[in-house]
Amino acid sequence: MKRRKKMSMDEILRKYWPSPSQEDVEAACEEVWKRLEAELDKHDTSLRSLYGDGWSAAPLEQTEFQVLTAVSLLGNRGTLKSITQMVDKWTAREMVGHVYLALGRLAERELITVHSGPATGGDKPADRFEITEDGDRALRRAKIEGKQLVTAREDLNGPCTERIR
Amino acid sequence: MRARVERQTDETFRQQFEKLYRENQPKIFRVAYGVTGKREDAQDVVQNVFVKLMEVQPSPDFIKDPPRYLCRAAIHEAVSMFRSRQREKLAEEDVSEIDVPVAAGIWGGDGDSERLEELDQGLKVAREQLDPYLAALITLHYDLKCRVKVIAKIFRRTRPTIGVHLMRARRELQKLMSTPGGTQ
Repeated sequence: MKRRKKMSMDEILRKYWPSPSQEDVEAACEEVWKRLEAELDKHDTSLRSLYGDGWSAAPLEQTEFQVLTAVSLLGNRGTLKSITQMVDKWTAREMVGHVYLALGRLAERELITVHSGPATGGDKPADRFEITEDGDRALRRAKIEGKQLVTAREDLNGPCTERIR
Repeated sequence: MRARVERQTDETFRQQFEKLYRENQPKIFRVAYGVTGKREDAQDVVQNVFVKLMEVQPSPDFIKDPPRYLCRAAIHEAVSMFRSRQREKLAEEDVSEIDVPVAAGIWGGDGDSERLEELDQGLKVAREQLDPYLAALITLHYDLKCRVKVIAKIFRRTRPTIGVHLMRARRELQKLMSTPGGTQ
């Protein structure tokens, strides 16, 4: 009579623990992917990323947001002067220094491009700024994040300094 | 010199998502199957894990190690699904009536197909009564061949703790397989 071999629990689990076949796994993968694709279509993931800060668009600081919006609105008429005028209106203060620095940063991050305009008389031609595709995406992100163009002046936001009589 | 940043587009998320899915789905599906014991439930687990990823911003845990995060998320999701199925089942039938082959799993061997069938059936029934976290542990260790070190990282436990849990899981299974209706 053939003697049965005794198996340890470890051996049993190694050999017989219920497991799906490779074909099963592959078929399930495709079925679930179809369902996920349908789910993906329901969500706006155009600016999302699975990694980093969760966005596929660049973040903007407040001044950068205002400057980039001005560049976008002005189209091919965006010069330091016209952009500053627009930003000044939104902030109600002189912003030329901030705008100049922000333009430099935005150009470095390739969110805007800089073109030299036509020379007028003996003056140095004014640079013109235009928004890039990445710049447009950064603007869309800032809007989703709820950034506002018009910024209240700090002294209006602060506590009332007047004494109540 | 500044490193060239990979260009991001509106398709970035979809591409990252599909890549992540293709790379991790087999493991996640196997773990979910190990816990739930049902193909459909395991598919639902995989779907739920990835839909959640689509709906919310990635957590720091995910960013730190995506595969490990997904595996952990799948285990929790599978356990939750398993427990909800158990509750539904309990409401419908009496557990003591489950037919478990006596002493199945203690013996086995080549050519003994009837005995192997019993063993297979015994393991399936025992798994249904095993703590689902222990079932996940067994699946990771025996089906996916994960080392204790890797499992410890997934469960955020120490290696000795996982070792003890594995031992407990084996003992529980053996008990469940040799006791009709389990220990409950």
